[in-house]
Amino acid sequence: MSLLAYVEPGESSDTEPEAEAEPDALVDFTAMLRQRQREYGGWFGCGSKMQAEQSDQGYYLEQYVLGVLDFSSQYGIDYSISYTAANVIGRPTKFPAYGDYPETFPMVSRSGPCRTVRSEFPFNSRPQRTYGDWWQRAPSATREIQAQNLPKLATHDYIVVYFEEFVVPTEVAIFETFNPGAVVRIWAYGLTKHWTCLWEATESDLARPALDSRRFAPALKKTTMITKTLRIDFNHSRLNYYTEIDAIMLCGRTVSKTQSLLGRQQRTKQSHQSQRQALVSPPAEAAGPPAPDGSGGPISYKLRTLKFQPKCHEDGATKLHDFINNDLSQFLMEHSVEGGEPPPRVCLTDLPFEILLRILSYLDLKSLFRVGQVSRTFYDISTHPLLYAELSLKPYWHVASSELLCTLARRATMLRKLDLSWCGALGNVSPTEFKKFLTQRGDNLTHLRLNSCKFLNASCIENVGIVCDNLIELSLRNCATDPPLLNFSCLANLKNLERLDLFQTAFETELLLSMLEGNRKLKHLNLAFCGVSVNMDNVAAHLATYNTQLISLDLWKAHFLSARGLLSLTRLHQLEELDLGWCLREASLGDGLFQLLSNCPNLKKLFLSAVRGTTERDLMHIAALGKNLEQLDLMGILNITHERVYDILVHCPKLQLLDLSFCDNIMDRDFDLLAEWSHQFTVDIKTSRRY
Amino acid sequence: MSTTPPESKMPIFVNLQTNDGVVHTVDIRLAHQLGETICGIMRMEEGCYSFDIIPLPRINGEIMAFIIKWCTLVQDLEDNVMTRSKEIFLNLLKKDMAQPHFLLQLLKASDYLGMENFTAVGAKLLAEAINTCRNSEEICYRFNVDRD
Repeated sequence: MSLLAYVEPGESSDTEPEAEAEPDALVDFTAMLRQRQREYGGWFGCGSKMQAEQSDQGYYLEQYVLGVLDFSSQYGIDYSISYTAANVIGRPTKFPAYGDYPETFPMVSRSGPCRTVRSEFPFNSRPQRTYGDWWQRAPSATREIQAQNLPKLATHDYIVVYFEEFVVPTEVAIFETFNPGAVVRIWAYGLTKHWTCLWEATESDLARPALDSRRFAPALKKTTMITKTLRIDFNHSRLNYYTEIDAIMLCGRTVSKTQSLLGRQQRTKQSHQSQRQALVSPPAEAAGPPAPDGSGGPISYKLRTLKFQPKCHEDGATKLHDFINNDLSQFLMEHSVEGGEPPPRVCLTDLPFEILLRILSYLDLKSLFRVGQVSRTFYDISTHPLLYAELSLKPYWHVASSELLCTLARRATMLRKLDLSWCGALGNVSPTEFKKFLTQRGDNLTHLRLNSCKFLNASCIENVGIVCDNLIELSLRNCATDPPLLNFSCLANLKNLERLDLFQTAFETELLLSMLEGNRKLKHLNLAFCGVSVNMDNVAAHLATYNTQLISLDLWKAHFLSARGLLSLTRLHQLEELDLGWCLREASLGDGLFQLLSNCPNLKKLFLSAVRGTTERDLMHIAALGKNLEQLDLMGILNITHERVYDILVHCPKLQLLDLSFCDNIMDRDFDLLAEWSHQFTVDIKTSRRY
Repeated sequence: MSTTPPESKMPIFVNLQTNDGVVHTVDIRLAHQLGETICGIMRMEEGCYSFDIIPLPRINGEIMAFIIKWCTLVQDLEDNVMTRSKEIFLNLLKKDMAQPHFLLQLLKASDYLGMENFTAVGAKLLAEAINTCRNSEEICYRFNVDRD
């Protein structure tokens, strides 16, 4: 994945604001526009960068994405332009048209281009590789670590984009052109190097919107922050199929004097930092009284909720005097504790230690820290190592920092599962701190997830290999850099792996092969998007020799897998899930598929998206031998006819999902039939029906 | 845990007396759900014709009534036990308009009685209540914790 350069605010190319027009000439016009803006509040139309007015506060600006900084997954691959994250750059190209705009299929067969070559380029981005809950139902599904940390609408995927100009954001519009409704959060990165959530989806936002393209611009939180970097979070669990984004627009007011505002922001930053300290450092560390906002009982609490803020000016004493003389009795009367029987003073600390520990074990990390600030007893309970056996900072990616890691290292003496995915973007976590953490606490780790961790460098990975030899699960998704990180032998030190996830991560083939040799108990392997340099036939041969316990294998878009490789895979008799999407291309499968289906009776999920060598005979084999098939993806397979589909539906009783998108042999007239069968056999059938 | 004793020997109900003097009469089947403590006592008394009153000095009447109500509603649940029993618990709490300290007392009682399920569900609910507190003072206030 090529990271486009992030332009630091200080070094920005200082793009001059649009040519400053004569102030005099604009006087009345400006006033008028200001007026109209207040009335309409927003979007003016075709969406070009527009200078609506100019004042000492800058001007109102609408801009499209200039570049993509990061994304957790995508459907396409980087060097192709199909369905990649980069497609959100610039103006929308398909909006308001609705639909799935496919790439130009490499449909050139030996006899020349096929009749159905499409010349449209996909200008949409599919920001995630998954949809619905199908992946959670597959054999390769994983369990979240410290699941109580997750918000109700968990983020499954994200994309980080940047724009040209800094603005105070007033609106963010996302142009969805296919299966809208996946956006759950919008974040903005401010000058103070903090992320602010500008909008978060609630239950009511989840009602699936109409299947039409839409310009999604939810009401943002009021803010004075300045930003030109946004992160959009997606949740696909309610989606019917892939979602597609055409463009993202950031609207707001520019600031002409960024530097002075930077100064102001620095001061706010300090107050933010002290707030973060409150989250991170427990009172006892300071060996003194708890944080200043912690003293007192119900009355001070009440005062605070009333926002009673005594200011000690010169007449402060007089004010206090007045309050005591005049208002205090009133106040007490209003807020007196009820007379009569006082409620039994049962306190939380009356409960036995084990119960308290159990209660705290259900809390998310943030609440746990909060509870730790309540009292000495609670500090002791909340720092008990049993509460830190599983740790996930993924939901806290925006506040994860080196100091948080340091604090957690002290408590997590019994750490077994660690998830630091998505943390450390833009420098908040240092590789040194991570290595220190790992050295202290990594030797008993069984599960380690470091997906999209930007702080990982070569020595971090080395450390993982050396320290964490008890790992049974290692997930290093989206660590693709140039040169690849995974090119040294320390990782081959791991011998107990059952799950290895290298989705979208570049690695040296030699290393992978030696890891395969060393981990005979490997059950789940994900090599999707691993790049062009891997010879998959070699990998397949190795798997057949050393990893015969494999249950799930994902080779999505793997290059250089041939029929020979497929034949190797037929020796994996325990296989329940196999994803060969976009592999093999036009190559004939030989009897590879037949052998696979015969040898792997437990096969539940089979993805053959765009595997064009699939013949009609192969489809017949699927029907005959796919007794346990639950999910079947035949997207883009040319030889499918509705008779074959019927065959499969009848003979695969456990089928739940059948993807027949872009199967050009299925005529428009067949779609109604398919809908009927979908209902009859209770199978979710995806088609390229144009609505 | 449940034996099928000869009918003549085993009484069909059990008397439980809480610390406020109230006697709760409870079906034998239900009584088995009320945790290890009571089951232990019943086992010890096996062979007697009738039970006299089993004293529960650590529990008051209100708490006992709630627990019995919950057990009655939960004992026939077959699937989705955890979520449904949690819902039932919550509903009962709402009906009584219970304060947080009531929940604390319930947990103390269920720990004393040795009721695994009840404790688990109660703990979960209490955790959720703590989660909703926006800062540590709220926790202090709601649950009567003394700061130190």
